Amino acid sequence: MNLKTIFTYKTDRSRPVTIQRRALRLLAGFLVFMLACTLLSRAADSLTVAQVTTEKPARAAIPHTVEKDGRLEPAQERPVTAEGGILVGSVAVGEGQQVKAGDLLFTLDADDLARQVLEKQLELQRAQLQLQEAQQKAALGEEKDELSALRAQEDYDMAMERSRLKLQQAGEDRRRARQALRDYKNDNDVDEDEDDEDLDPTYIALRDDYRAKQRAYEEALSDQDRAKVDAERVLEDLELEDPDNSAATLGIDVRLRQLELSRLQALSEAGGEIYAPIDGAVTALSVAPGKRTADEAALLLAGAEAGFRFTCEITDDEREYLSPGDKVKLELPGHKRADGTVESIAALADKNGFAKVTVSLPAGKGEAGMSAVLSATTRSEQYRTTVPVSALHKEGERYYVLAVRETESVLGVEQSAERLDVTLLDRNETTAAVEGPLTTDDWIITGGNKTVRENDRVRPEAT
Amino acid sequence: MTTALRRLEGPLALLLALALWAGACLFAGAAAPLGERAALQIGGAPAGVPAAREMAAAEARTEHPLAFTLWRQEDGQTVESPALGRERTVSVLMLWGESALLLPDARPSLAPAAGNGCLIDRTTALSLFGDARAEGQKVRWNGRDYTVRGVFDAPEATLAVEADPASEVLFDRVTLDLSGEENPRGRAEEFAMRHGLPGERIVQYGGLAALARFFCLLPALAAACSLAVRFFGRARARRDWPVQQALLWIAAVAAAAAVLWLAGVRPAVPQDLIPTRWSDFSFWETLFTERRAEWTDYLWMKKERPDVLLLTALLKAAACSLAALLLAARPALRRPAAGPRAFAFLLAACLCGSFAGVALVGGGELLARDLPMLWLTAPLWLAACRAAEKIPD
Repeated sequence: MNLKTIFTYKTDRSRPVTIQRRALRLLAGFLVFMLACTLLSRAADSLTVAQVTTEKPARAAIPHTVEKDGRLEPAQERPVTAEGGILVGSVAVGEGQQVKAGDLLFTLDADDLARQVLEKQLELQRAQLQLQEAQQKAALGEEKDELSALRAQEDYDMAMERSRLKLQQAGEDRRRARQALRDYKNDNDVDEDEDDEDLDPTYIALRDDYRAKQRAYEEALSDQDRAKVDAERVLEDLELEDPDNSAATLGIDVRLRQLELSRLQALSEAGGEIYAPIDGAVTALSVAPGKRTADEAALLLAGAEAGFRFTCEITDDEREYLSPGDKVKLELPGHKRADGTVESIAALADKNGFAKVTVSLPAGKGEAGMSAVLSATTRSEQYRTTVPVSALHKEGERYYVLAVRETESVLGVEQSAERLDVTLLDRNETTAAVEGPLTTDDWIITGGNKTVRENDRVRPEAT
Repeated sequence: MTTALRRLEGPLALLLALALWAGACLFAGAAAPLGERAALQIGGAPAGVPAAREMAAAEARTEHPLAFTLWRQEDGQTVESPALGRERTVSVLMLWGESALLLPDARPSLAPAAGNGCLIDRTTALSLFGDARAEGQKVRWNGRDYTVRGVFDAPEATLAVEADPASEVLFDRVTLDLSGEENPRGRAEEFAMRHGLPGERIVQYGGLAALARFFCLLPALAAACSLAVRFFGRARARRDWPVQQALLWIAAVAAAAAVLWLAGVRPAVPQDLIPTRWSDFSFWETLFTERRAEWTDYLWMKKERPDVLLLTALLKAAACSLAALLLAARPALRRPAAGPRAFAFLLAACLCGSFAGVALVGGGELLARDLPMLWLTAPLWLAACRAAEKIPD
């Protein structure tokens, strides 16, 4: 029988099929079907059961790491100033640049500086002339004041003398009138209680005269007091007149202008160039070419000798893991590391929920403006049960883990996932501390090739 | 003239069908990277830049860190070209992380250190600069100038920038890169748990990308089915010759399998769709309920730019694929080739169609990825059809 015969083999459909042959075919078909079902079920079994990774709960502390980006700031900064209002010609440094003492920082415009020197000189001259005028006025004023005081004193003395003489005259007139009235009463029997109609007219005239002299005396006395008060007030007014300090003020003004001019002249002689007073880094720059200098510092220089401090922001939650006095690590550019100490942690007023952390660095570490990463690790208390975060699930507000349990079924022992509700005590990005019906012998499902639910069949991967 | 047109109908239909198939492959390819992502919606407390840094640091400390990008979309933003003074309203994607996770076709990818770099879509580039090659140009948004690093295709005006570290932007989405993950859903949930975001809505794009891939493979499936039908038809006619019939069955299966294999069909069922017990009918109920809720949510939620990109790619892939099938189903292509010359003509049309498709829609990247599918599947299918026709009844 060759291949061609096999290939061209043709069935004889005219021959009848016996029962035995038919039964044999059915049996063969049934066996093939059963074999296919068995293979299918085995394949389905291996395909459907979730392969899971498991881990036993451990007794451990949970490390909390705080990593924050921040910048180094100088612990101390020294301001560099220039006269205000002068045009800046050029700026030789930029923010963050390191400079040495004597390095050129910026240059003021020479023409503008010369113009300002000239203006200040003229202003000084004007102020000096004003001072001279004021001084002359002041001298003249003093003489006038002295003369006024002298005249006032003379007026006072004269007024007092006049009133004294007037009073003396009035007293003498009263004394004479009283004596005349007494003499008349002594010579004549006069009953003073009688009505004027019954009294002697001479007596009445003497009595009225006396009374008039008495009133004149009292008026003179009163006039004397009034004259005294008036004269004293004049003297007091003279003493209380505003002192004229304009000359002194102008003198100070001249002095200030002289100082300002001398500074400008010194600047002009130096060519308008401002140099660094110390070695350090420029941390702030407020001058720019083409703009005028302000009254505030033109730039700030941070000297390395005072060291640097690191600042960053942390959330309120992270404050739990960082305290003043804690030792922290700082990673500086170029894979350099430095140890630091937390100086302070202060809530940010303008940023709710955040706090500013300041860390001091040892001298000689870092540069101003340098970025750095703070790293601090705090270990929690020892927890009885910790599981990987990947084992933790949440439904609503409840946390749970899935543990592998062996159960008896009609097909034998099978492993399935059992849900165990737990309370979350603490956690970091990898580990969670929980409390619940867990023992250290439980195998907790931490992952798998598919999402595993409660009561799902599982097959733990060999560890 | 009519005869010549009738002769050309088949090759032309084949040419067009292949070009459309190439288009379907391109669009499915564009959807594929997005299918490996999941978006986590931060509903409770949106995260700012410091929180994003914290998340990155915490993720880096884990054994298997996931790549992720936090982002936020601001609609109705006006951008302008400082040089030309032109304006356009766009949606701005503010990112913290690799932009490639959201915009895989935009090159180069932006990173948090991108500074003033930005990506814009082609139509925005044309509106602002009059030229789609806008790399290096300046775009002004919110008073800040950004340099265009790349231009990408998007159905709507889009500007993507890395968020200013000093800004107080609050991100409300996290896109996770789950490529290569055995259990993407589990990993996304683990990520959410790790960063204190459990219970937040997770949108997985794997289903949509798989649908786009299905449309890309649909012509190949149709080709395999048509081949199998032809061979089985021949086998049925040879039932009196059992050896020949068996060989034809084997040939039918082999030809269909070869076409599918060359087309890149690798059947796989997501593990999440397989119950752990076949008898567990509650699994199907739970699965159906969960999926229905997820898809209903997704259907009604606001579609952000990455969603729009994925859905557009899916729709384009579906349209191209179905159009290719309609063209391939024309009677002119179902008829057997009249002779060797006609068959050679068809083969030439097949190669031209593949080339045209590659040249029109993809270029080198598509050529490298779907080379077997486009260059070999169709000729193989034609050759197998020709072989089936040659088998005597």
